[in-house]
Amino acid sequence: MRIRQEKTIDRCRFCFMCRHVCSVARVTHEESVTPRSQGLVMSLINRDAATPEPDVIKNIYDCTQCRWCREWCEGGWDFSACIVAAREALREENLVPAAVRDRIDRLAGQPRPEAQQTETLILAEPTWVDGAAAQTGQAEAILSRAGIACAAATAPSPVFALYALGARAEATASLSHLISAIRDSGCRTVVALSPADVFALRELPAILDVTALPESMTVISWADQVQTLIQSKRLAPKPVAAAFTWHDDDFSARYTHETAALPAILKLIPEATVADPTWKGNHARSSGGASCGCSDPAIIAKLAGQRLFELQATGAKRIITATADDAALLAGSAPASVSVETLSELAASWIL
Amino acid sequence: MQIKNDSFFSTMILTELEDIVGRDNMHLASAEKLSHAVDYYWGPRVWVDRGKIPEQPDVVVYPQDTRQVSEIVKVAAQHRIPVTPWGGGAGSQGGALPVHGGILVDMKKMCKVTEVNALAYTATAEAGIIHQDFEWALNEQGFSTMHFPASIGCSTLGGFLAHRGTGVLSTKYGKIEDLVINLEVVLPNGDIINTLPVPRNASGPDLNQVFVGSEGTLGIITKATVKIFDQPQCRKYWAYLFGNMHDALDAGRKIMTRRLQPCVIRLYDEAETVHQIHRVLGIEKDGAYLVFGFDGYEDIVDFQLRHARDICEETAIEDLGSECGQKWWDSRYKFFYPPYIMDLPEAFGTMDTVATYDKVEEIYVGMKAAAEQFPGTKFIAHFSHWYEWGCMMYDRFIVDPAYVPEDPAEAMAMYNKIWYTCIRVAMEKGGVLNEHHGVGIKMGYLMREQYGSAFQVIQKLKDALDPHRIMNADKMGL
Repeated sequence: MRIRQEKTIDRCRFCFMCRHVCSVARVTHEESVTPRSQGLVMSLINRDAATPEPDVIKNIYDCTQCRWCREWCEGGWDFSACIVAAREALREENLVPAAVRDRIDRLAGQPRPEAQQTETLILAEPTWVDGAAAQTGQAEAILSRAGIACAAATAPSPVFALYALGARAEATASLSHLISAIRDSGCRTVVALSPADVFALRELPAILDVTALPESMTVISWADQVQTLIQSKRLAPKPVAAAFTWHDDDFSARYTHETAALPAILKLIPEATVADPTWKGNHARSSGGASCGCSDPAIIAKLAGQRLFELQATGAKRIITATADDAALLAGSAPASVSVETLSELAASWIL
Repeated sequence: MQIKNDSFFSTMILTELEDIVGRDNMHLASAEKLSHAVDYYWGPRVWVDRGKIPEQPDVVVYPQDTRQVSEIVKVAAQHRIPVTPWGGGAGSQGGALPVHGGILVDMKKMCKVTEVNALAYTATAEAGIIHQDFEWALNEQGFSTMHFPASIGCSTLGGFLAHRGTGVLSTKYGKIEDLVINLEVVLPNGDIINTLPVPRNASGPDLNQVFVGSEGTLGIITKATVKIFDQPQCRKYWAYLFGNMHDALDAGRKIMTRRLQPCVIRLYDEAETVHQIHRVLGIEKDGAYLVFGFDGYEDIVDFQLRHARDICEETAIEDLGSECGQKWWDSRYKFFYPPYIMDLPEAFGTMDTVATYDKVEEIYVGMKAAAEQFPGTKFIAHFSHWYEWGCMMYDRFIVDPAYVPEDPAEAMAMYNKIWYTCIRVAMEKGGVLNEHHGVGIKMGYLMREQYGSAFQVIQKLKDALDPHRIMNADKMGL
């Protein structure tokens, strides 16, 4: 078995410098999940000195793809790409665990997004939680109320999840279809309810060798869109006398580096107080909703619990997330005294 | 004895270990074993690079409290099984390598901060805490450990204590042995002991200093109380360029012996200024780059800074100003990320020598000459931990890949030859073989040469506490 990204693997295999920010290591405290350990084992596999045993495979699929290792690296190495490469290699060797294989099959087999002609196309969040469908409807209503002609794509796109799980061929086909559907809609703006889709449309074309959207089509995250509407006075938040905090998902924080909109929106709400979440004295922010890459529900639950603890430490009683997926994960651990809402739910309460 | 997968009696022992730590905290599978077979030492790295796997532990356990560590060690003692403690595994001397297989005790699940005492200015934590986590936890309460090694994000409190680690601000705040108040230790017979709860006393020898630096050969440190500090009102830096190392070393010595109390002084020789300062900081100057810093109340800092600058301006060839000093501080960890840090296919080693001021320059010149007599070998050095009596030289040899044998055994032989040659030059001229990376297996061979007949004190301690040599055997020459 050969894992691509050999140069990065060989650079990371002896380097310990990102251990403390590895989301999985932070909750398991185990050595073998860290980037350097996984790189070490991958380098041995590439040298035919080790084989992908079941525990090695599990570690590869435990990675959340939160990208903290890449973010932290002063040398600019991207170990998250090595994990994707390892997953691709495992797929080529038919060594994908059954649960992951099933998930890939489900994602690849789900209805593809189609789009009608529209000025602004809403891309639904690619998740299975109940709130996702509601969020799409809320977003449509909010944009319509702001006077924007819009329509939602008929289904969410699984492209990022397929890419992260190492299903490169399926991800490539999915991305090609998505881009084709967007082109056919004739829209000028794509509003992505999931920041993962912002990344997928902006950066995955180069990675997967797919023709990107034309520059005349703008891809914008939902939070950025709402902020723009408030700033242009097309939306006006009602006063809410409450203490808010917010959860920056991995994609906003480390894939697109667009974390300003969510707190900015909250700070524009009259009478609201906003406590910025800090993680270890503002040095970094934790992963908390990284269900896209990690295949171990116990790790995801621990991460969500840890993130909730950090958010609760702000003293705020209302936590706002960008995505329904994150809201569901955090709400699962939250006490009754704390509410977790999506940005769409919050914005809808102003106008609907 | 070894624990073997297909052995009946080994299975019995594994059930004992599982009973202590639980199934989820005991690993027999390949990923954990491979991960613990390699640390930051060049030796196992070249082994792996050539497609070979160094010695692995038979089993990896993650205790969750001191009682579990004690019970694990008792099982090991009963059955004479080798025990290797593992913190972050980021040591550069092979001190955590499980060279005899056996039980590897990874301490990272013992990671709680158990007390922050704002009156005594002390904090207590379990030994497996990643030091950055400890520091961040203290920062949230306005304190700091002031212990900032390059490996802060990957090494544990216990690991620093085990090999006498240091941090970038050691010149003012001390090394880890200066920061420690007291320790909880599991002895090789499984007994749990505590050292006295104050760092200064006249109640016999200092037991802290028996275990600090013992590298797991005398027991496993499970908990420690350390000094903590307020965050300083300000910290300011300044940098100068010197035309030669003699003048630069003398300036650093004067800053220290005049008791100006810098928190840091770092002096890069001409070769390392070219090799590292140019690349990492983007300061394209040739010469010896000296940076220093002071922290505390701003008016005192300004006073100290002015006097240190006066000293440097006597002989420096260029005042690089505060910006070049601040840039160094801001980039202080960047030096340790690939590609800025040395990596294979080069052979490289940090020899880390310490000596008094009257000897250090001669040692520097001698080691440089000794290293560079080897084909394709370059010597670079910086002086990074300064005292009122001397300083530490972070000296490194780097061998061009063209001169590194493909065969890992031949590569190690070449590597060790350079190492022994250079260190012996240092020792002959009055240097001590290591200041803060420890000894491990890399330099265990040289311990008897270093200590002479005094080594029997260390050996007899080992013999008395660990008569069956189960604890991290063959480290530190024990």
